[in-house]
Amino acid sequence: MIIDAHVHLMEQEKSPSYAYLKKTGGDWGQLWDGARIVGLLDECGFDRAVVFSGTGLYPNVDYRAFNENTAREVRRFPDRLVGFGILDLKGDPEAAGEVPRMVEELGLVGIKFHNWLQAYPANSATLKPVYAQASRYRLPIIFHTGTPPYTEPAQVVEWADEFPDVQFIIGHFGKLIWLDAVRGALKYPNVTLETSGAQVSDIEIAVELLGEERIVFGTDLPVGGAAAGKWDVDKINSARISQRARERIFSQNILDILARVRR
Amino acid sequence: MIIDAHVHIGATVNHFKTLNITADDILRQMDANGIDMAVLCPAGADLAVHNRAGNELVAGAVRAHPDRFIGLGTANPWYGAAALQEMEHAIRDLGLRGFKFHSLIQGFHLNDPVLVYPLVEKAIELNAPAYFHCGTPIMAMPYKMQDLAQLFPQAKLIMGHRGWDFHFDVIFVEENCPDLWVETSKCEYVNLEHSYRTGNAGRLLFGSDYPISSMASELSKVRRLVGLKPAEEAAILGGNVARLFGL
Repeated sequence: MIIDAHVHLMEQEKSPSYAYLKKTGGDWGQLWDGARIVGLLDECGFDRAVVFSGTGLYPNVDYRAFNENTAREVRRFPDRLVGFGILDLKGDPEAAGEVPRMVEELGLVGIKFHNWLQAYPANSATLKPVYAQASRYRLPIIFHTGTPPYTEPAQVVEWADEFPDVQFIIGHFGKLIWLDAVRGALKYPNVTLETSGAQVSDIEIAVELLGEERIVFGTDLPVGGAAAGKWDVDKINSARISQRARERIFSQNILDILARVRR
Repeated sequence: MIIDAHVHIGATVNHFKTLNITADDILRQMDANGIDMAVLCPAGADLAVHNRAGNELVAGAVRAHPDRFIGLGTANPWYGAAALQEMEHAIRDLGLRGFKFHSLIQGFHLNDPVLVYPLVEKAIELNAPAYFHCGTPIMAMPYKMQDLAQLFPQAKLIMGHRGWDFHFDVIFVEENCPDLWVETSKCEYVNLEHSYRTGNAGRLLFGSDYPISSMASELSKVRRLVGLKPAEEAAILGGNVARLFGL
């Protein structure tokens, strides 16, 4: 079984990143609703995915509406999609108040932050009220990481010890800064690494140091389309790790994290 | 013929662990993945400080397996005149074919006038391609590669890792530097696809960065390119690097 822990819904064709995407011709310049995402999962051979807004990951957006959209798309494919919410702390410093509604009314079971696009550092104190709310529900929070100065893995784990009931998921494995992602996971048991952006030997070493239960498979789809998703699988398959570790990375570890959520 | 344009031999340090890679390890990986030849370069301390030892290690592997390996030497520019002499020694005495520089490990900005211009001028004099690790801020960014390529149009320069995570910049660098060679390891699939789709199949060099990435996944990254034609696949996986090194 393969569960992708990092997939974006793209709710608007022309998002703020459109100018760049127009240049690259990438898939972010298209609409990706639940049905298209499920088609992509089929094409990649993935069973399920954690999905969250892509277009909404900017300041001054109606994040509540994006969360409602995510919930709606997830309800259409409850066997295939798991929904995480987003919060715009730049535009609304009180956004932590959205967390109970997100979980209790919308059925979303985690949060995604993209501090680079959302324009504040991942160790900003504005995140603490969110962590306090997330602790109540034992939510996982996945962060885009690896692009300084706002998304360093060490910033993400700044308060990991103060909020042990929150699962801090370091998206993209910290990319070039994976050293600090692994250091964070070594220090705090509630830190998990997500594989997109990692090099093969980084994953091998992380499994050796952290064990088989601290890494989850992710892709960042629909970026790159099915070829990218399949290549992310090739990467894990080429890693010299045990079969049990591979299986846990592909599905069981994220299932365990989701099973801990108190709804 | 499939040629891996970027493989490390010797003691590669990946933060937590030293990966000791021998010629036999590399040959086993190549055989398991159907790779005919590999371009070797020194790693770790050999790259940073023990340049002579690293260059000799590479040269030894090439001498033992001349049909499988092509060798790159290195020289840390902080050694000054000795670095330039080492470059000459690597090509003229050791039979190496080009150079690998790593501005992060060797401690310079990729386009530093004092430290780097002499290296590039020497590489031009020796008619040797020069590979620069690229994609790590602040010292190894694609726009620095562009600066160098535009200053030295006669140099055979290779941008490592397709600029890694600096894909926003590589889009422009590829446009602005038509003669720059681009090696494919480490970058994300989507960014390689962009290079391919915008007409760069003639200068992409398949590389694995082994032992940091795997030959299997780096090969699959190229082969999964949507719309890839057999001739383009052959060029990216070996034809281009053969042309670059005059094999």
